[in-house]
Amino acid sequence: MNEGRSFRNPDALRKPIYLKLDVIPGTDGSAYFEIGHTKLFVSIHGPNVDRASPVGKINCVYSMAPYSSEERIKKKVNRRSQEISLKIKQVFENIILLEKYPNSLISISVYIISSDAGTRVAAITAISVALAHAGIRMNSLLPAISVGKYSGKILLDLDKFEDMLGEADMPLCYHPKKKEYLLLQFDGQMTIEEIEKSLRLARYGCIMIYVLQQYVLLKKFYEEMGDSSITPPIAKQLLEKSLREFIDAADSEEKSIIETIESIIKTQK
Amino acid sequence: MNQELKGQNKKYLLEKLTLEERRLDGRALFEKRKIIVEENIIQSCLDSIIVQAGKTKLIIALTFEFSEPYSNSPRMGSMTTNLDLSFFVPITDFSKKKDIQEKELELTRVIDRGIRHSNIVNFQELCVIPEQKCLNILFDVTCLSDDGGIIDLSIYAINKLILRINSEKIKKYIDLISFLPDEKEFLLNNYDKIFNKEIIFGSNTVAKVDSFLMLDPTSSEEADADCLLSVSTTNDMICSMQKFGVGGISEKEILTILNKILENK
Repeated sequence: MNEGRSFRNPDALRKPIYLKLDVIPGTDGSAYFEIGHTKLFVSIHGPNVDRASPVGKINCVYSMAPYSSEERIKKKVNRRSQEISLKIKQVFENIILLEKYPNSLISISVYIISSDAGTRVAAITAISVALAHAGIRMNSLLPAISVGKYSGKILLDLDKFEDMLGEADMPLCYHPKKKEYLLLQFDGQMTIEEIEKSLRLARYGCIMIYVLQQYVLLKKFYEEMGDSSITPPIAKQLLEKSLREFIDAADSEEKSIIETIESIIKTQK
Repeated sequence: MNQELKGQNKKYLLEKLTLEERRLDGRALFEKRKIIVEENIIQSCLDSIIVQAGKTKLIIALTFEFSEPYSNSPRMGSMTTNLDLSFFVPITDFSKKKDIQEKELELTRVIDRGIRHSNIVNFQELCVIPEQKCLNILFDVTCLSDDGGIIDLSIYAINKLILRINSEKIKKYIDLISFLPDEKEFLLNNYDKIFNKEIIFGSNTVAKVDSFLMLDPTSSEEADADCLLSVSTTNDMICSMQKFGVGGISEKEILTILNKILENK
């Protein structure tokens, strides 16, 4: 556990940050995501036939391994995990083009193997790319991140220490094309000005996550085509281009985002 | 409600909002329903009330019990919030039952977090013997009729119950319940430290229907909404938020809602 932000800027994501596709055999889509000490697997099954539902349906199960936290997780399903499953399902009901999947069920499973805060947002980030890799039609990829307040400062991507001892925590997921929040939860104490600052910081964090998602999918696509030409500089150019199309970030933010893109791309194994 | 009927309802609502800036029940966009309170009704509780806003009617009960503290907070007490929405759902309606269970779960968590993060409960003051015994505060909400606004009404009622605690109620309660002598003594000596009564605590829910934002939506407005945002506040601070529903909400809309809620407090 990190004790405070002595080694990380308030607007920096935790490291390492690593997203990998196609990690569970026998699934239609899967992903592994780690951000700091939060590590999880996601699997997608479907679309499978479900005659009972005329429109497409989503089922989501979020669970934590008993060993994933310092304190052993005794119940696989509890109120918290049920609520997170429900929120994830609702988020993806907005994103997946369910009208394209009549009489079908898409099942999403999330398994947290190491919990260091931000598990629901990490799950949304990973599910989004796993669904894309499974060929499920969606209106966008969906980046998600948490922001919060620790020791009076607004911080991006809280770790467990900051989450537990901080004054506030806000997990969010951002639809980059619609510029809307699809997940918004907040616990703690903040003024309106602090919430405004947090939303801006969350948007900035989501842009970085969004870039990572695109990079990982592009890389996988090129690999599957038997083409290894998606080297980091090419990927960087492609991503910068797509980023500018719809992100109206301020100049200073854009410079920082591009620097982050380079650093994120370098860390993908 | 079938999709066609739902579409018609939404059309009427939007027409009314556009032409008259009034809602189907005649309220202005940021007008809340009047709340009616009925007094203590359940003898076995420390206190209880029935609250009604429009057609939404709830029973809220406050009880105490003593238990062992959680291992991760050995010097603190705990609080449990329960919400029962199943009262008005026919037992045979299994499909509806699942939706109700999901709603129950989400609303319970939001009410619980709203109370917890308002700092209205002094969890440190609930410890009787460290690592051995603590006080657990229980808020039970039973919904008799749901026409929207369950979170706001529950939090209003819980706040009311907290403000009404006094030595007379405590004495009556400990005479009635079979608490142990040390538990009785703890309650008599500490009842006024359990809650921070100076905190002004409340919750407001806003529905977004197209470009319109409406405070305290009815269940029909909730059904027509793209999404809902519930916000709990204490004095000038925001202490919890939750977005409900599938639709998204922009940064500008979030800030408009927060400003309006703090203005109208």
